[in-house]
Amino acid sequence: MKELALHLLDLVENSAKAGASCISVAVHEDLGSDVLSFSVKDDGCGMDAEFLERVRDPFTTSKPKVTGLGIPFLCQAAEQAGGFVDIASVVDKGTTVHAVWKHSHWDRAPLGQMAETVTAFFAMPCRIVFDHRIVDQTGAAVWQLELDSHDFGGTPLDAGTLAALKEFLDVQYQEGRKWVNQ
Amino acid sequence: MGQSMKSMQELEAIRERARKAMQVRQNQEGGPVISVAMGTCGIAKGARDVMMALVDEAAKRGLDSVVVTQSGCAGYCEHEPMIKVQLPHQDAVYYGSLDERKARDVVARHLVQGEIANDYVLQLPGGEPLA
Repeated sequence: MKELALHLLDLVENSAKAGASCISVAVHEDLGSDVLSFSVKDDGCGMDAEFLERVRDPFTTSKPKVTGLGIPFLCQAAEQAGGFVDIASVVDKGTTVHAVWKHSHWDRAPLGQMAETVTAFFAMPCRIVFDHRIVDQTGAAVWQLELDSHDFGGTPLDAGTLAALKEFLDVQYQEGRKWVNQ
Repeated sequence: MGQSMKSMQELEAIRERARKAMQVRQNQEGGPVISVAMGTCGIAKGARDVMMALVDEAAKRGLDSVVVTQSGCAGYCEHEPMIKVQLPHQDAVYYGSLDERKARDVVARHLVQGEIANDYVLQLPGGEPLA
C-alpha cells in the first residue's frame, strides 16, 4: 500500500470485522516532536495472548481461507521509517493499535488521500469517532478535524450524504496539508 | 485552534442532511445497498477508489438514497475490487475486477436502467457467475 491512509482504512476494517460497535480513530501529527501517529481503538472481540504473539507474522490471519497481511504491511511501513506498531488486546473487550512514524523520515510513506479514507469510515456499519490534529513546531494546535458518526444519525450513510461529506473533507484536508511540508 | 465557523456550519448542514436521510430510511423498507469488499486485498487493489466512484456517480445521478457500505474479504482476493449490489426484492449480484470506470458503469446500468452489467459479473473458476 502506497499511502498511510490506506493502512488506516485497513486497521478500521479489522476493527469492524472484529464486531466492534464503536471505533475511535485518532491521527496526530506533532511537528515539534516530529511524530505522526495513528491510534485505532475498538470494542470488538479482541485477540488472545497466543494470537497477539503471532499477529505480526505475515502467515497469520484470523480469516479462514484468506490471506490477511494487513498488520505485517503496517509494521513494515512503520519500521522502515523510524517508527513502530504497538498492539494491545483483551478478549471480549477490544483492541487498540498504535502506529508511530518519525514524521520527517525520508522513508515515511505520504499520508495520502485522507478525505477518501475518512469518507469510507462513514460507510462502516458501526459508530466511528474520528479525530485528526496537527500541532506545529511551537506546540500550537493549528488544525483539527473531529467527526462522530453519532451526530450524523448513525452509519452507513446514504450516497448523497457521503458525496457531500467527501466534498467537505477535500476542502478541509486541502487546508490541513498546508501546515505540513509534504 | 479548531475548525472555522464556516466549516462548522457546513458540517452541521451535512449532519442534518444525514439525520433526515436516516429517518426516511428507518420509516421505509430497504432501498438499494451497494457493499464494497474492503479487506486488505480489496484496499490494496483499489476498493477505496471504487467506493468513491460509486458514491460520486450515485450522487450525480440523483440516487441519493442508495446506501454504500463495506464488507470484509470474501475469499476471492484475485477478483478484487469486488462489490455486491442488492436491490430490494431481488437476488444480490456480485461484480468483480472493477475499477473506477466500471464502477460508474454498474451504477448507470444496474441502478439506473435496472439491467445487470453481465460483463463485470464475478465469474468463479467453474465458470458460474456468483450471483
